[in-house]
Amino acid sequence: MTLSIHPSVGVARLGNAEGNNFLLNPTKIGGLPHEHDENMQPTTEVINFKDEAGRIRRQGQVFKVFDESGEELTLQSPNVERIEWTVHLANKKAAWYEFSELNGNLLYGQANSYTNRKIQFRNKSVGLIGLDDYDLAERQKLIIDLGPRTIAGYLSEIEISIHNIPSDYTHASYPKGEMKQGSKTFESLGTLRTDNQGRLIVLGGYGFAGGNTNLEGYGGGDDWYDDISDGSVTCVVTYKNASQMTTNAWIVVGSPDFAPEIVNISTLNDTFFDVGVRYFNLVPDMYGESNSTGSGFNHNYIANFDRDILPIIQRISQYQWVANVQSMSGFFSYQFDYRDNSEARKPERMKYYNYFRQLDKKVIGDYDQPQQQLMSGDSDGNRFPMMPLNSGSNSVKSANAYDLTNNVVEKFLALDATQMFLLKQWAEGKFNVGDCQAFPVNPMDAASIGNCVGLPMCPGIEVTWNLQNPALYEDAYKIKHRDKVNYSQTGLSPSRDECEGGGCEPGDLTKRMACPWQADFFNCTVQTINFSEPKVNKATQIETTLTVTNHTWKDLPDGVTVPEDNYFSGTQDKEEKTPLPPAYYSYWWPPQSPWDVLTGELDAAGQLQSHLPAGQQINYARGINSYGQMVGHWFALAFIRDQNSKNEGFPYFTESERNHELFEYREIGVGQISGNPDDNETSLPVFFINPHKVSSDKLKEGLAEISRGETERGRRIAEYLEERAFKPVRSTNILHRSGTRVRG
Amino acid sequence: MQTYDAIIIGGGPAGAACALSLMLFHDKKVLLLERGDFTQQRIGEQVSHSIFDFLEYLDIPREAFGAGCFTPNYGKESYWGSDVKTHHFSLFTAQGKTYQLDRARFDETLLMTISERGGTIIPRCKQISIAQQEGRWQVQCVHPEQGTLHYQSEYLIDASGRQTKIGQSLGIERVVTDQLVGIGAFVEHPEHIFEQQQKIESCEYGWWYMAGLSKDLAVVTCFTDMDIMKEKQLNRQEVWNQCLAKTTAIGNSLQGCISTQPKLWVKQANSQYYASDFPEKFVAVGDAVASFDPISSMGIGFAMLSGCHGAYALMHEQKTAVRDYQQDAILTFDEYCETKWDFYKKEQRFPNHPFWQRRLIKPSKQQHRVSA
Ligand SMILES: Cc1cc2nc3c(=O)[nH]c(=O)nc-3n(C[C@H](O)[C@H](O)[C@H](O)COP(=O)(O)OP(=O)(O)OC[C@H]3O[C@@H](n4cnc5c(N)ncnc54)[C@H](O)[C@@H]3O)c2cc1C
Repeated sequence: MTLSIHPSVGVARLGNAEGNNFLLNPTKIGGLPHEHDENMQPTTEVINFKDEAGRIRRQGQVFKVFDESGEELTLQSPNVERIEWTVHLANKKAAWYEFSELNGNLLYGQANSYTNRKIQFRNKSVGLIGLDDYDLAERQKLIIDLGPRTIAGYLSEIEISIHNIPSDYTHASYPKGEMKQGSKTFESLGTLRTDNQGRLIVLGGYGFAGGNTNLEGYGGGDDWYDDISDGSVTCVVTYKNASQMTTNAWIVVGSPDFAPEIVNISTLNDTFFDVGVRYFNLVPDMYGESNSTGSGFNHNYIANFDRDILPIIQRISQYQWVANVQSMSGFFSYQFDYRDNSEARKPERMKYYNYFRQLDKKVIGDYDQPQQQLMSGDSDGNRFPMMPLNSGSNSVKSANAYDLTNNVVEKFLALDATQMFLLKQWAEGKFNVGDCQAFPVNPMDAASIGNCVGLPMCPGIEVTWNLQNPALYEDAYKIKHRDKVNYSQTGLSPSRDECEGGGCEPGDLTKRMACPWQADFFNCTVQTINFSEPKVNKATQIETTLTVTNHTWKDLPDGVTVPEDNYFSGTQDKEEKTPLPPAYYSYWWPPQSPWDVLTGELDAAGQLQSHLPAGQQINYARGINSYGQMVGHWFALAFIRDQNSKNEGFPYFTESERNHELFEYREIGVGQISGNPDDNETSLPVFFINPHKVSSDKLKEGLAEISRGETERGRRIAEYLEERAFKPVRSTNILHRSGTRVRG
Repeated sequence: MQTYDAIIIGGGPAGAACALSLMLFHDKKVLLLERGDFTQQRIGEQVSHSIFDFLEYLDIPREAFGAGCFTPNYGKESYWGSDVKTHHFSLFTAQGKTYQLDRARFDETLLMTISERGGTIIPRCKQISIAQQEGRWQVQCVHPEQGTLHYQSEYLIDASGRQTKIGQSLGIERVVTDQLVGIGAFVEHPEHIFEQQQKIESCEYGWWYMAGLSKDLAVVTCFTDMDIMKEKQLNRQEVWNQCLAKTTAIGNSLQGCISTQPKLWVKQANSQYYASDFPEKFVAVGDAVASFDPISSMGIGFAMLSGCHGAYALMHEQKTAVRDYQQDAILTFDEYCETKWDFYKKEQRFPNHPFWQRRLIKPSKQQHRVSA
C-alpha cells in the first residue's frame, strides 16, 4: 500500500500583509483563492487580496494525504493516530548561475551545459579561490536554508524563521545584517500550519527583497536576496497499530498572481502533462511504445474538444484583458463551428490549425526553425501573426556571431508538443465533443501548477525550463526528491545540476529565477522581437556622428585654383544592445505580468484618487518607473479581476485594489519637450511615486496615535526630517535603467 | 560642501511659507535650518480667514492639516477700558471671521509639505553663522550628531523670528518700539470647560489673555513690559498666580485649573522691524522683518504673507523688488502702530501707570531708513 499527497506540487504565493492574514489556494485552474474560517477551512472566494493597509495577503497551499484507494487520511480517520509533515524550503538563487536564457538547458544536450557554455555564477567573486575554482563551502553560504520544520496535530503553527533553526541542522545560512537597498533584514521563509483535521498549509515569504548593489538587469543583481523558495514536503502517517507510512510532495513559493482568473496559454500543468505523456506513459493511449501507430504519439487518438482544445482557444482570447493582442482576441470568434468534427469542416479546421506555429526541434545550430517565424505568410492579404502571438523562450540574445553552435534562439512561442498534437487531432477530425474520460491527473495536482507559467521560460515567473526535463521526475506529476542525503550534515549543494539526474534538492526549482523576482517582473512584460533574421534578436547599435571638414580657398586672383580638400571624421557616441529592426511588439506572460488593462474605479472618490475614468485601457505598472521602485512597491499594483464572474461566458476584467494613494499624477504637455507652446494642447499622463511622500505617510500614520501637545510628536518629526536630510533616498537617482520598457 | 539655491533660517510659518513659494513657483532647491527640535510648545494661535488664501496660494489643501486644525471662533469676551463685558469677533481690526489654530499641527504640516515636495529640513542646527563670499552665501552650523555642517547657496532668507540675530551680524539696523513680554502657562481643567472660550482683560500693569485650545486645555498669558515684569517679579509662579487671582473675569473662569508644565514661559512680544537696506540676494520674512503686538493677532498671517511676498521679491528680476517689499513691510508696520495706538487709547483707567503711559503717546511715522 502506498500513500500520495495532493497536490503533488503545491504553489503558495508570498505577500507582505501580517502573517495571520492570508488566503488559501485556488482549487481550479483560473480559480480565485479562498478566504478561510478559524478552522482553516476554505470559505468563500477571496474578498480582498490586500489588507486595510494595502498590503498583499499571502496565499497558502493546502496539502492532503490519501491512501491507495483515494480516501483522504485525516486525524478524523479511524485508523490514523498521527499525521506529521516536514517541509524543507530553500532559496538557492544567489548561489546558482547567472540566468542566461536557454544556456544550461540540458534538453539541448551536454554541449549546452553551464560549464560548456562558460556561464558564470551569480556572485561570482564569492568563494573564488583560483581560475574557475571555487570553495563550495563558501558558495553554500549564499543559499537561504533555514533547515526543515516539522508540524503535526490540529491547528498548529510554526514559522520557518532564523530564530528557530533546528539545533542539529549544521549548515543553515541566510543573508545577515542590514541590506543597503530594499528590505532591511531577512527573517523568515514562511509559515507552516495545520488545519483542524491535520492537513498541512504552507505559507511562503513576506516579500523580503534586499541587496547591496544597484539592480540593472532582468535577472537581478549580485548581493541580492529574496524570500521566494521551494522545497520538499514529507508526510509520515502513523496508524493506530503503530505502523508508519511515508510519502512526499513538493512546494513552490511564487510571487503574487495578479490576475488569477486569466490563464496562461501553456501553463505549468501543460508542461507536467506533456512530460508525463511523453516520458512517463501517463496516457498510454495517446503516446507510447506500443500503440497502433508505433512509438510516439498515436495518430489515431481521439481527442476531446471540450477537454483538450477549448481551453487553449479560450486562454488565447482572454489575453486581451491584460495585453493588447487584437489578433488573438479575434482568433476566437467562431469563424466556423469548432465543435463540428465533420470531414466537410476539415479545410477550415486545418486552416485554423496551420495558424499555430510548429515547435522548434531542440537542436543547436539550426536557426531556420518555425519558432523564428512571425507571420503566416508574406504576400499581400496573407499576413497573420501566428499563434500564440507571444515571445518564445529566447527572444533576447542572438546566435554567437562567430560560432553558431554557441546559443539557441527561440523567438516566438509555440504550444508544447502534447498541446500541438491534440490540436492536430482536432484539425484532422479525430475528436469528439461533450463528456469524456478525464485524464489520469488528480484535479488538485492540475489546479496548483495550472496557475503558473508553463511557456515561455525566460526564465518565467514561478519556475523555469528544468521542469521540461524528465530527469527531474520520479513519475508523471511527481518531483523526484534527492535521495540518501542527510542535509543536516551536508547542507544543500550550491552547484549540483539536478537536470543531470539524482533528484531535486530544496531550492532547485526556483534557483534559476530572477533575484530578486521583482527585477524580472519589472522588466519582462513586453519584448520587441526581430522577425527578419532567424539568428538575431538583439544586436549592438552604434550611433556615430560624422563630421565633414572642407578646406576651400577664396580671395584668389582669377585663374589661380587650389584643389578642394576635405575629410570626414567620426565620433562614436553611443553603443547599445537593441532589438534589431524590423521587430514586433510581443508579450512575455501577460496573465502573470499584466501590461494593458482596464481601469475599474466606479465611484467618484476612487476616480479622483486614481486620476482616471473607468474603462480606460492603461499601463498596468504605471507609476513604477524603476527596478528599485518595483522592489519597494510591488504590492501597490492592482489585481485584475473579473467583475462579472458570476455570469460565466461574459467576462469583464478590470483593475481592483490598486494603491492609488502611492502615486502622483501630472499631465505633461508635449510643448514641454518640443519647446513649442502650441504643442501643449496635447498632453501625456505621467504617474510617479514621490519618495518623500511615501515615508511621510508612514510617519503620519504613527503620529495619528499621539495626541496633541506631546513632545513625542515633535521628536519623531525631527527624527524623520534628519533622516531625510542626511540619508538621501536611494530610489531618487541611484538605480539606473535605460528608460524603455524592453528587456535591458 | 552641499549647495542649494536658497537657505532659509528658521522653521516657523514665515520660513515655511517662503520655502514652499520658492519651490512651487520658482523650482528652487531649498534647505531650511531650524534651531529647535519641534518639541517646544508653539505660542500664538489666533488667525484671520486670510490664512486660507495663503494655503491656497501654496497649493496645500485644508484637509492636509487634519480635522480640527482650524476651529472658527465665536467671539471674544473683553474687559478693556471698563469691567463691563463686551463681545467682539476681532478686537483689533475689522478682520471678520477668525480662527483658532492648532499651532503644532499647522507648523508641522507646513514643514512636512516642504519635505514631501523635495525640500530639505534640518532640525537642531545651533550656532548658525553666515558670510557672503563672492556673491554666494556660506552658512555654517553645529548639529548635535552630525557635527559642524557647511552649506552654500545663492539666496539667504532670515525667518528666524522676533529674536533674530542674523540682521545684527549683517549690519542691518533694527528698530524696537517697546518691550512687551508675555508670561504664560498652559492649563488643564478636569471638567472640560474651555471650548470656544476667549477672554481678554486689561489691568494697570498690562493685560491678561486666555484662550481655550481644546475642551480641556487653555493658554493663559500676562502681557506687560519687560522692566515691569522684573520689578513685579511677574515671572515667578506665586506672583503670577496672585495677579491672576486679582483679575475680574479671567481669574474666575480658571478656578480649579492645573498647569501642564512646571514653569511659566516668558516670550518677547515687542514690536520691531528691520530698518535699513538688505544685502543682495537676501530677504527677511515674518517676525524677523517686522513683528507686532500679539493683541493684533497679525503675526502668523503676516508671517505667511511676507514669506510668500519675500520669495517673490527675491526672485524678481527687478533689483528694486526686495526694497519695495521691505518698504511695504514698514508701511504695514506704520499702519499697525496707528491702529494699536487707537486701541490702547480705549483704556483710560490707569493714566499713571507706565505701561499705559508709554502706549498713549501718538506714534510718529517711522523714519524710512531704507533707500527709496
Ligand atoms: C505670546 C504670544 C502670543 C501670540 N499670539 C499670536 C496670535 O494669537 N496670533 C498671531 O497671528 N500671532 C501671534 N503671535 C505672533 C506669532 O507667534 C508670530 O508672529 C509668528 O510665529 C511669526 O512667525 P515666524 O515664522 O516669523 O517666526 P517664529 O514662529 O518665531 O519662527 C522662527 C523660527 O526660527 C527659529 N530660529 C530662531 N533663531 C534661529 C537661529 N539662529 N538658527 C536657526 N533657527 C532659528 C526658531 O526656533 C523658530 O522656530 C504671538 C506671539 C507671542 C509671543
